[in-house]
Amino acid sequence: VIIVSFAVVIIGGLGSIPGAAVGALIVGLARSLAVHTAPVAELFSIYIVMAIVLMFRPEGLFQRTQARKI
Amino acid sequence: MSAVPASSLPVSTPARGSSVGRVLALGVACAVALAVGGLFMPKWLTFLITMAAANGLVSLGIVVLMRGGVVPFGQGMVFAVGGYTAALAFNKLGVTDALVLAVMGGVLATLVAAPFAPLLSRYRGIFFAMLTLALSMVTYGLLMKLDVLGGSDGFNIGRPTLFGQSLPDARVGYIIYVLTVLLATAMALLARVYFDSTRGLITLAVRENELRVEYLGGSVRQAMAINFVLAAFSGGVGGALAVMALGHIDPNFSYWTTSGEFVFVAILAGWHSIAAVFVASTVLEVVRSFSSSYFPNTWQLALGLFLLFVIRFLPKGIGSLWVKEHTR
Repeated sequence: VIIVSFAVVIIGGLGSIPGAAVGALIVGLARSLAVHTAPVAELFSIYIVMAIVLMFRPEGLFQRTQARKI
Repeated sequence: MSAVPASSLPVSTPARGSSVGRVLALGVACAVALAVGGLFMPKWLTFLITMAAANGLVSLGIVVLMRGGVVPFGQGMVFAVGGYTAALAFNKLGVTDALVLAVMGGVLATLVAAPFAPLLSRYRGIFFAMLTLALSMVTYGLLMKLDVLGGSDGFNIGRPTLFGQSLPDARVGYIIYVLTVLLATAMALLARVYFDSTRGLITLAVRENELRVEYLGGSVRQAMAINFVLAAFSGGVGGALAVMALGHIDPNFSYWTTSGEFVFVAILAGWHSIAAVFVASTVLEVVRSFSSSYFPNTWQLALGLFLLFVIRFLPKGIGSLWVKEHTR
């Protein structure tokens, strides 16, 4: 459970409440889809989704980009 | 990379030259003492230390990355890859030499991890941790589903040989123990050399301030990627050694609780000392075996309390007991 909730928060972006909601939706749908179409992949469907999201949005979906401080 | 001399980095290196010999002598002395001491130890103790040293190698990899400020939560992956490589090479390819198996485990874990290194080097903090976790869980899923690799039950590995000699019943545990201790010492000394090299010091600087390192001409991503690959090698060797000591392998090697234990040891040890990694690993094994024999269902409780105390009183890990702080 703790791992799944971490994945949700990561997908949504740390510190973003709408992000958490959307992340939960994505994770839930991805998992159900995996169970329905390819039960073999159920175990790691969450991680694949997370990896794909992070590849395009390294800070999560709802995180604003921040200037780096020196 | 050579554009950044070690002296310009925000880490002072007081008289490393004279201490190299001392560290080397200390490491060799420890290894010899353990190897000779093993003759007089009961079997459970040599087995415990064997497992502690093998797991310590994986945690050593985590410490290599921790020095750069990231914590991988998926070192179970390289542990499993190393273990499965050794076991499969033994069963399918007929390679039986323990030393060759250990090196093969390390090399294959490196090859598996290397393609991900440039990708992962972009991420920091929890993102890095979760992505490495994702890798290890995908590996776990694959190992569970592939019946060729034994599925969820895993499979057994026979008794290895060493330098062409078959190992007799009575001595096999001891010989694997000595091999593991010696390999762990060699890896620890190599890690020390790496930590004191220019690149190793750049890793420390990355931890302090990434942007400054880049302005000074160092590549943060390159340093991170190389650390990840080195950590994979160390973890693979550890996995191969662990599987030879256990005689069995199953997908749990790659499960996140296994990875969690390695992180636990690395945090316990802190990133200041390499010897602390092996001390912490031994402590974990001792606490686990004693508390699981005395309070079978609550050994995690004992472990958790222990970690709480260490974090409360030694926030920089066990290593801070004997390593003085050079950095801020």
